[in-house]
Amino acid sequence: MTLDRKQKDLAKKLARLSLDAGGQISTERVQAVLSSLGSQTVRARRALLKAYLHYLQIEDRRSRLLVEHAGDISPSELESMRDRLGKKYGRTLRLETRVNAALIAGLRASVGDDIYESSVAGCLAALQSALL
Amino acid sequence: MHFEIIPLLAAATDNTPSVLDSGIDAIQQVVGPFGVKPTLLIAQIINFAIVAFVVYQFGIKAVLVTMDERNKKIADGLKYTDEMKKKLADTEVQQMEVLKQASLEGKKVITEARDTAKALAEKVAQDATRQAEDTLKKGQAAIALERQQMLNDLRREVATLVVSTTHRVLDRDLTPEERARYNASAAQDMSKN
Repeated sequence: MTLDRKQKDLAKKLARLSLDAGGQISTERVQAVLSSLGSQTVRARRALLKAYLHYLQIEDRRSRLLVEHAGDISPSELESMRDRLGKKYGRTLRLETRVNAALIAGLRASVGDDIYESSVAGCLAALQSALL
Repeated sequence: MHFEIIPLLAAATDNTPSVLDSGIDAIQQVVGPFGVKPTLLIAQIINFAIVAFVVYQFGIKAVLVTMDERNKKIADGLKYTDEMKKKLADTEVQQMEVLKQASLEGKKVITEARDTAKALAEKVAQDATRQAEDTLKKGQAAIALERQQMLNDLRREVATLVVSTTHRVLDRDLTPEERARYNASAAQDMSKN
């Protein structure tokens, strides 16, 4: 069952309501939202829940700072980065780190759909694009 | 001679004996010595006249008619011959004229054909030259394009090779300290920007 525009907006609003003050997904709020959907029919509920999940995942990505790095990086630098980016986005970001040897050296940080890269592999890719 | 005698004979029929007698006497005096007898002479003259008349009437006249006809035929023939000669001369003149015209026409046709052939040969030569030039230009353009494509491919290959080599060298040769230093610098840049 496809949702109309009104129901999509509702799912989006419910996803935003599921965030706490810090912009993180709150378990209690999610439970409250789920219980509020009990009055709807099963079929309508399923479609709305799918949309709700989709928007929650978007919100989760927006509140997650994924840092990919090659080599070591100090936790203080990571915290500093998280604080600054948190201020920029107006929410508390959840830090996740991942080692990515393909970067050779440097970092790639992503918040939602925004990607910040300062890595050797990125520089080499830019160089290749410029040469081509 | 007998024509002169006839008036004498006519005068002799007149009843004028004196004239006749004197005439006869004169004659006898002239022809006597020669043995001519007037009566016989007159009879012969009359016979001769009759024969002459008959011959003239039935012979000479017919012959004259025939001769006239023949002369007429000869004249007609001569006239016809003259006319034919004139016609022949005219025909020859016409023939010469026609031959002259045909010769002129032939020369004209040959000249036109020659000019046309020359013009066609020139056109064919020009077309061939133009085609050759077009082919040459196209060939040169194709060569230039191919050269540019080769250069682009070469540039692409070199860039890929350089980047790939640099990637491998850096990946292999960077020490953990250098990586950590780079990471710290990158984190600071990100924080600032």
